[in-house]
Amino acid sequence: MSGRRWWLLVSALVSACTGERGDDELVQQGGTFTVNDATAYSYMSPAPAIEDNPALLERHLNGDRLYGLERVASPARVPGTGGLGPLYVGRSCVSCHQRDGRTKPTLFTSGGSGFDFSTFLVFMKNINGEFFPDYGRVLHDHAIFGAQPEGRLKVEYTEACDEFPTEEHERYCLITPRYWITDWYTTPPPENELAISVRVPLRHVGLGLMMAVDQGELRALAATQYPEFGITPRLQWIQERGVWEIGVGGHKAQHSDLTVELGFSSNLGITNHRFPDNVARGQPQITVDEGLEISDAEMADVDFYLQSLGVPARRNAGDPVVRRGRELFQQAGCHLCHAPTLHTSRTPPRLIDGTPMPMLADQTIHMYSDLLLHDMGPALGDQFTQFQASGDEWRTAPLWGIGLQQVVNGHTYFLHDGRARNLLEAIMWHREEEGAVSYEIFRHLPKADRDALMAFVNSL
Amino acid sequence: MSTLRCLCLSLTLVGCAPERPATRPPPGATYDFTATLQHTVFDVIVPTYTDLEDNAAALHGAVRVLASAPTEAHLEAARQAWLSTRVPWEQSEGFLYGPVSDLGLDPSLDSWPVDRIQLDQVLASGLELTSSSIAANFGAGLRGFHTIEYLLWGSDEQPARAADLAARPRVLEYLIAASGALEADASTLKAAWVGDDGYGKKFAAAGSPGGVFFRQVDAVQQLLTGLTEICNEVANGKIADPYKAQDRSLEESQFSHNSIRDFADNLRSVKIIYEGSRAGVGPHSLSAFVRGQDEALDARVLSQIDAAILAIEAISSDGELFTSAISNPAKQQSIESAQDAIRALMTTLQRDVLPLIVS
Ligand code: HEC
Ligand code: HEC
Repeated sequence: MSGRRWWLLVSALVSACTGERGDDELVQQGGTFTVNDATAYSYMSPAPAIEDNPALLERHLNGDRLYGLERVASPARVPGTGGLGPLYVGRSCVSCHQRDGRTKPTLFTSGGSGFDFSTFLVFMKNINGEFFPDYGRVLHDHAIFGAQPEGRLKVEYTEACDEFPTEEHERYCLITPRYWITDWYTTPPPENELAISVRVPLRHVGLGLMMAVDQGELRALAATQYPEFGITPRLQWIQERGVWEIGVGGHKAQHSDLTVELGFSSNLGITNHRFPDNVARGQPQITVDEGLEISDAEMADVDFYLQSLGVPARRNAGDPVVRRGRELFQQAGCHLCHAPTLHTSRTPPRLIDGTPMPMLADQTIHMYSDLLLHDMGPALGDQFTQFQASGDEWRTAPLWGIGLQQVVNGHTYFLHDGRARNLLEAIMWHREEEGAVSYEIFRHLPKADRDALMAFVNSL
Repeated sequence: MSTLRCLCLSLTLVGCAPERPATRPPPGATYDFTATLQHTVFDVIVPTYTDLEDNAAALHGAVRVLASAPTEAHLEAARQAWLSTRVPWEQSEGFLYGPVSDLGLDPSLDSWPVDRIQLDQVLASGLELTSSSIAANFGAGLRGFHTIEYLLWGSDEQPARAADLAARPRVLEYLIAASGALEADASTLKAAWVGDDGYGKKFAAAGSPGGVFFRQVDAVQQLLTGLTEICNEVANGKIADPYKAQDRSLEESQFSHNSIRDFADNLRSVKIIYEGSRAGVGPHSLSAFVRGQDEALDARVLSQIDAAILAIEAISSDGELFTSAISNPAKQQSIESAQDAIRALMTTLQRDVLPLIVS
């Protein structure tokens, strides 16, 4: 408590001293959900309002337990731990979202599907947008003993290097991956009908606030174009529950909830009320009828857990280099997509079981995303459409907490499939279509300015 | 570096707004923790992982001996080797961050529960069993401490005996493979902390170029959070779950009945980190820092750590196992006292020590 006040005070005084209002008011990126933590625990900390309330904290901790529980094959000796598979990608949510972040992707170092579990998802559809009857909606590259994985992902990449046009001629290299699937358990889908999208996990920073974002504000942002930057944002409309809704979650904003039911079903093979059929049902190799393996109340607790996680405060917002970086971020037009400020709606959002979350309402937040779709060009695209999003369109990645990914997860892989090995590469991948103007401005900055811009991003 | 920045901020603060009642930054913001971090990493964390690696190698050796001659004596020796490997592991659970988590080693070393359904099927199959085939083909529920524990002790209904093991060569093969995989994981873990490029050096260099953290004080906060996390885990998870549900299947080390020692070693993990040494309070420890700010508080932390260890051990001072104590009404009080003692320590760390380090 006192901690947050102290920060505010420092910020206020610094502004008073320098006579300007700059970054400092943006330190509390998550509004009242901000936590003063820059450690490996920073994404895992519950928001202060949760921590201060024993009943809420208990629910949070129960969700935490279910989220982290390593599942085993049924029938399990230990109650509540069974249900894994028979086909799966991870064994718990934590497999991929370690410390509520992004587990270090292994696809480029191991050449594809790894041992034990995978740290990525491979979405899979036919060209008409339908799932293949003999396969799941993601490639299940792991299976319990006796069942066969659906197939294995293979990755190869080429590396191309270039120099910055500025004085220092600093070199940078980008890797371009190529993906395909081998070891199909049965007849492979015809190659010309198969569309896949390889995705690394998203950091769980400020998920509750993201779900609570004022949708009117998103519509207004979507209606604003920046022709001089070639930026034409689009709203994602999705239909997952029979009604059209604005999508905000996922790399193509293809979800309107936090995918708890889908995650358990599709990633772990844990059947539930919304997805009562095992992901592998219908496959010739699956015969058992399992019943529901996680209850609605448990899933709601996981939803609560995710929505009640805090947002780490910025670290060094007052640093002169970081302040300069913030100006450059704007000059380069990064903020036109990575919108610094959004608000949450007046009406509190609800969990999947209908519980209202009043503490998320009416907040000013700084996630550095417009949650809208942007055409980033074919180099980054994957020809995999989802609702309104074309293969080349992606949701602007929220940047809050990004500077702590190294501390939390021990790596700096970025972008939807983790192909950027560090922040510089992530920015240099903005080179096509709507990102192109920003990219050109960034590329032509002197090295010190590029570094300042990145110092700003790392301060988020 | 960043500590300096904080200092500048507070100077500016005093300089331009003298009339305001300035909230002072915590003493940790300007304290030089370089030696604290250095000693914690190289006198506590790395030696603990070195013990883990050595003991895991000894376990692997003991299991091979058992496999070559499955006698009761060799079975007992293998069990003892498992128990000694367990000590440094449990004593490392106050610092479950860095490589142990980044490299996914925590699940593969210590996944719980054991996937007994799959394990039985694998044992009944003809699948090749080597350390690498286990690492490659099976999930964490099929390897690590508890899988080995299950095979060495068996369940209460069906305890493992040397004669049975002799008749089940697949189990012996599996034990060799799983303890080999455990040894490999322990080596990977230690290797990731040591060396010029290791996490240990980067951790100790927190706040300076090449360090993992933005500010030095973040590393110190992380040390402390690691301690409150393990306190929480022991009091509100490892003890609470089986006790509240009165269900022995929820006990962590349920085959070896080593839980009380596990819990006590978890608290010893808190002790060695706080004391910055594995041999009493070190001069460059968190304890020394706290003592410099508030002598009584430091004394309280030290005594609460010891009290928590004693309270845990008191649960089975009469020889009763945690397994049965959870459903023995006469043990209710000592179980709850242990939980209370751990929670009291946790509260002190969170409410009184943490604010000295960060606001
Ligand atoms: C095998 C890896 C894997 C596992 C296991 C996994 N996830 Fe994910 N998760 C991902 C990937 C990859 C994405 C991004 C995919 C996309 O574009 O939607 C993601 C996205 C999400 C998001 C969207 C967040 C955002 O910012 O938009 C949420 C929430 C989420 N996962 C929750 C869960 C939960 C809950 C579980 C456990 C039931 C789980 N995940 C298990 C890989 C995984
Ligand atoms: C036209 C909109 C747009 C502009 C302008 C833009 N970005 Fe992005 N940015 C995106 C989108 C969309 C993604 C997600 C792309 C993907 O995942 O493949 C992204 C991803 C990123 C990421 C990776 C985040 C992560 O966690 O993986 C970083 C870092 C980033 N942008 C920084 C910048 C910076 C710095 C600038 C200015 C130089 C900038 N962006 C300009 C739309 C934009």
